[in-house]
Amino acid sequence: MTWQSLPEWWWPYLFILMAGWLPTDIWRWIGILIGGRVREDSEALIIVRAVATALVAGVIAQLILYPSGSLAESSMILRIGAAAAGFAAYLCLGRRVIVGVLVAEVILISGLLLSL
Amino acid sequence: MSHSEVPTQQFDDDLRTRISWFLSGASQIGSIPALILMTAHVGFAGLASENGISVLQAMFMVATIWALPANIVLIGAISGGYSVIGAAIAVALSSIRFVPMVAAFVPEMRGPKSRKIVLLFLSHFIAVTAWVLGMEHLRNVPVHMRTSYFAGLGITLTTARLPSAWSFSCRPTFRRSFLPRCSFSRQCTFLPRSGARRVTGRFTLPWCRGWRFFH
Repeated sequence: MTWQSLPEWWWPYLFILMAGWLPTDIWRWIGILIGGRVREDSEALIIVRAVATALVAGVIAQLILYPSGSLAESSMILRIGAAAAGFAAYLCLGRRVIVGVLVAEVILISGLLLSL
Repeated sequence: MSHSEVPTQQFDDDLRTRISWFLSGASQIGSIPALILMTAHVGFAGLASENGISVLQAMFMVATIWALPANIVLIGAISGGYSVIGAAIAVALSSIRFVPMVAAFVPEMRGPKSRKIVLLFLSHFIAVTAWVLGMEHLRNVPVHMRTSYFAGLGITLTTARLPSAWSFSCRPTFRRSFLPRCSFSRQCTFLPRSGARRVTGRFTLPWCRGWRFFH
């Protein structure tokens, strides 16, 4: 049974529910059931939180280190430099996210325009 | 008389505070992470339309799945002609990360009286952006108002993405004439003039690495 198996109008929506919604939300429900059992200050939760934070950090690192599309043509040093400068600006200029994003974007875009 | 009025009064106050916390969560829609997520969904819509997925189907995917990587994996599976089972396995592998993410999020979100069914419902709106915003802001919200706050945050984020998903799912000719003076939403001010294809490349293609792995 693939996307094109049935000509009925409702088939793509059923396909999205079975192949997209269920396999995604089931993990969220399992997370709720697990998270409801552990105490807020337990060590198990610290581990779980560390893993979750590492997962998010890993996704971001992948976007910076192995991008595709037009960013893949830019140099690695530019991408890492822009991210590092944005983070430094965030830390030094009052811990405001908007400052970090703007500084990193300005460096990245000017680097791309100068084709560094 | 006064006895019967007090609980009603309390109920009204409680509802009013809940609504105001809901709106406070909803106002996060103007935050930087939310605006970045909006541009990412514009790119997702471009990818969806290039793979022959209709506007309604793309919006349905955003509303029911609400995780960008899982959506991209699903589109890859559809264009690759996978069966329902194969596509479901690929999507499930990309979504396993929700177990630790949600488990760490629950203690932040739940109050002493939160019912499990409410938490199960709200868990649908957890994805990276809502997770980051929630972890940052929930600690400043009174404990028994946290579910209301996150409901405002999560539900608004998800519904506000639907027009982003719609905007670029339009046919390419329409898209081209639409883009330069698109005034109905703020996301377009972020876009380079060269158009949707470039945005697609920049914002969504990195996620595709996940599904290439499954080919």
